[in-house]
Amino acid sequence: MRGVRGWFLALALPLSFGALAQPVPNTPPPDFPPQVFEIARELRCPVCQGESAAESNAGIALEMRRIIAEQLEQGKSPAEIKQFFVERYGDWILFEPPARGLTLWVWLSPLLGLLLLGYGLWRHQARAKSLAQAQAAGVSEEEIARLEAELDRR
Amino acid sequence: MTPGLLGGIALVGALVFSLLGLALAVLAHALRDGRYLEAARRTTLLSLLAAATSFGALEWAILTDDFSVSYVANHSASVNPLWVKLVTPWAALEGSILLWALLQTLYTWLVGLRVGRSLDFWRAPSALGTLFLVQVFFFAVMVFVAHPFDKVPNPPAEGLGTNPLLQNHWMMAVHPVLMYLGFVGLSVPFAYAVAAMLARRYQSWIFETRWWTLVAWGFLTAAIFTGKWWSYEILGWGGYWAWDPVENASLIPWLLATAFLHTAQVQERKGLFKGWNFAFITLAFAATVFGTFLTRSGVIQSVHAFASGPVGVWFLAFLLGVLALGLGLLARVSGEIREAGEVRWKSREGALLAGALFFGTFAFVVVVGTLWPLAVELLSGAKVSVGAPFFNQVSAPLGVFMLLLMGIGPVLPWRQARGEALKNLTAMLIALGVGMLIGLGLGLSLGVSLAIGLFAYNLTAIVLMVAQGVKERSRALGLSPAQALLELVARHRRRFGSHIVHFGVALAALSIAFSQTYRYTEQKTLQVGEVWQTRGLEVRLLGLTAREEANRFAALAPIQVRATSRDGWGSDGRYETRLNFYPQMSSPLATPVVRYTLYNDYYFVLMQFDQEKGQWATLKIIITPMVFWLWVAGGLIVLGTAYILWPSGARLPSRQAVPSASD
Repeated sequence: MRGVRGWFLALALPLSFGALAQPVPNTPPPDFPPQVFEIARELRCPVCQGESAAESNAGIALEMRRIIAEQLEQGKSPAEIKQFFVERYGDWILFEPPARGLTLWVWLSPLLGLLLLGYGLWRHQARAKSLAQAQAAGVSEEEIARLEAELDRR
Repeated sequence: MTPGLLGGIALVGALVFSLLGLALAVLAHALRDGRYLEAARRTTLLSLLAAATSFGALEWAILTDDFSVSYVANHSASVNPLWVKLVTPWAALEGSILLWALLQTLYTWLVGLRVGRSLDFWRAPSALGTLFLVQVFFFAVMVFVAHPFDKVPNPPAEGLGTNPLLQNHWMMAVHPVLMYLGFVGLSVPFAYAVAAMLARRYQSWIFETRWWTLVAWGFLTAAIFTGKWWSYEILGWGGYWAWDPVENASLIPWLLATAFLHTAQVQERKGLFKGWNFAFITLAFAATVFGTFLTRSGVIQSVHAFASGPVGVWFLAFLLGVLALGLGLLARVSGEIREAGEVRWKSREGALLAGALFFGTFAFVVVVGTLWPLAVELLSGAKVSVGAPFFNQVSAPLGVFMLLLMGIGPVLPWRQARGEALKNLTAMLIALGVGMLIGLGLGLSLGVSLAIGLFAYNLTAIVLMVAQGVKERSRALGLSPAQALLELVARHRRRFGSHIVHFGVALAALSIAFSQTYRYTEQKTLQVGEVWQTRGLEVRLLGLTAREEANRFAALAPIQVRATSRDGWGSDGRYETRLNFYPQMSSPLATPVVRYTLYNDYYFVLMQFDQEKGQWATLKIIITPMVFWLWVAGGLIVLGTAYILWPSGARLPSRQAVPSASD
């Protein structure tokens, strides 16, 4: 396996200058059971561009997974582990925004959207109805369609 | 002549032609003179040629490693393989705007071909004018802010290279182009809408616009699915959709265009919902600009941030301009848009409108969720995240309602539901119940069981509709059932194609429910020769080697996998997991090997390895059920769309118009 070592040394220089460079340890990381990834998926990797701690390979994400695994072994519940990270990083670390304060509005957005569009639709219907009644004796829709088709042909 | 010089000149040429086209279109509109219209129509070809020359010059500079062009110096390298060089134009900001602009000139030219056919003398100037206006924006951004051909005073001997994430997979050649074809394609329906509002004809624009929208929608759908597959193949986390802001940005126009495609049918058939269609298509096009703004401005953290640059504020201004034009015109004319009547809810149009309501709501939620962290930071200075767990929870109930409507809508007749529809609905609801019970009986979760039920429900709806169509045709035309089916498939493309698309959507929903609920991830460090038993798999680490490749180093850890129980069905084989090291990247890129089977996908990722003695390697295994069917579903949706669009001669209401452009 000399090959592996040889080119790795060649790489060591650029690696250490990278912005996110971590000292790459040559010790194997601990084994992670599935629960670790389930919890890590809900946590943001603090230095990444919107990746979760389960996906990212940045050093800090590896460290977070290690902490999760440790705490799981100590018998902590997923909620307690997430709380541990919230205490250190704030709510920002959670991909699921808490349903209180300003972020409550995000949770209400589906309802708000439905109400808003529903209200618009209702208004639209009411207007269409009154117009239809007012113009019952006027030009019919078929006539308009025919007229437009006529105009299109010109 | 150098490629940089040629590209720069062509770029200015494209801007001049776009301005000229715009001026001619405005004159044609204002003076009602066909000669100006004809001149504007011919200018579309000139701007297309200029844009193509400019794009070709960029390819030329990249292929010849001309590092005196800053774009090439910053985003390419002479050691890159040929295919990487060919796709490098859209690997960073300036080049991707050039590709966008090139496709825009292509669409404008295609619209120019419709002048005198479906686009008459009254609407063609404003439609072409709108598209030229969009072109002016893109070429101006390139000429003044993000010039792809900026010169480097002292050209380096070697370029900085292409973003490794983008050259790790051949999808780079496909997904971005499809996405741009979809995004740019939505400018055409917008232009038609503007023209209709300016010409004050609110009904007849919808026929051809629906067709153009479907073209863009098909590309957008293909782009979204290929993007999912790409991220599944290379990002190494076993997922395909992360609700990343830029993914959301592609979903918003898709949702709004989908809403439009459904309400457009109501307008076509019933003359209803005219004002809403103008609004929907304006918002759909604006959403493409919004998406570009998010990607390019860097206001939001995202994995797509590689393409950010100084153009954010320009795109924001353009976004506001598009909204002002579309919605401003709509506000002006909305008083005189007349509806043909009101909607009865228990009818096909009712279901279509309800569907559009949900698509609109979904788009609203995605916009709010994507922007909310920004809003919170502005309002209170606090930082919050709105990510996948939120979007998954919110989109599940919306998805259920949409799947229910998708089944029921086409079954209901226009105008008023009759007894027959009720009978069909009963059969569908029975299928829903049976599907759910089967799921629960197999010990699956409630959500997944519901997804099975909804799949059965939609499948029943499609089978019932096809059976009914066959029955009617064989009775009316005196054909055998097989002939009648053939006739239905061949002659009613629009109807049959929509069945295919809807089936694809139901299948995708089923696949998403399974794969999101039952994804299994585990990580373990193995010594060479060691065997790892887990979830019906037996994984043996065979060794550890390194290989030097043209533009990267790779660490390879071959493994031998054997299935030990039904859980591991189909996983047998030898796989080569690898980590790629790119000189311009600080951390290695894990490229997973994926074993696709009809049920489980097995996903092996090399996470870490012994750099000194090569004795151990850390492997991650991800097992996800039913993902394969998501790609099948995506293929079906795109094929169904293509089937609807395939020219059949009688597709468009033929308007054998007198060439109106001549005097």
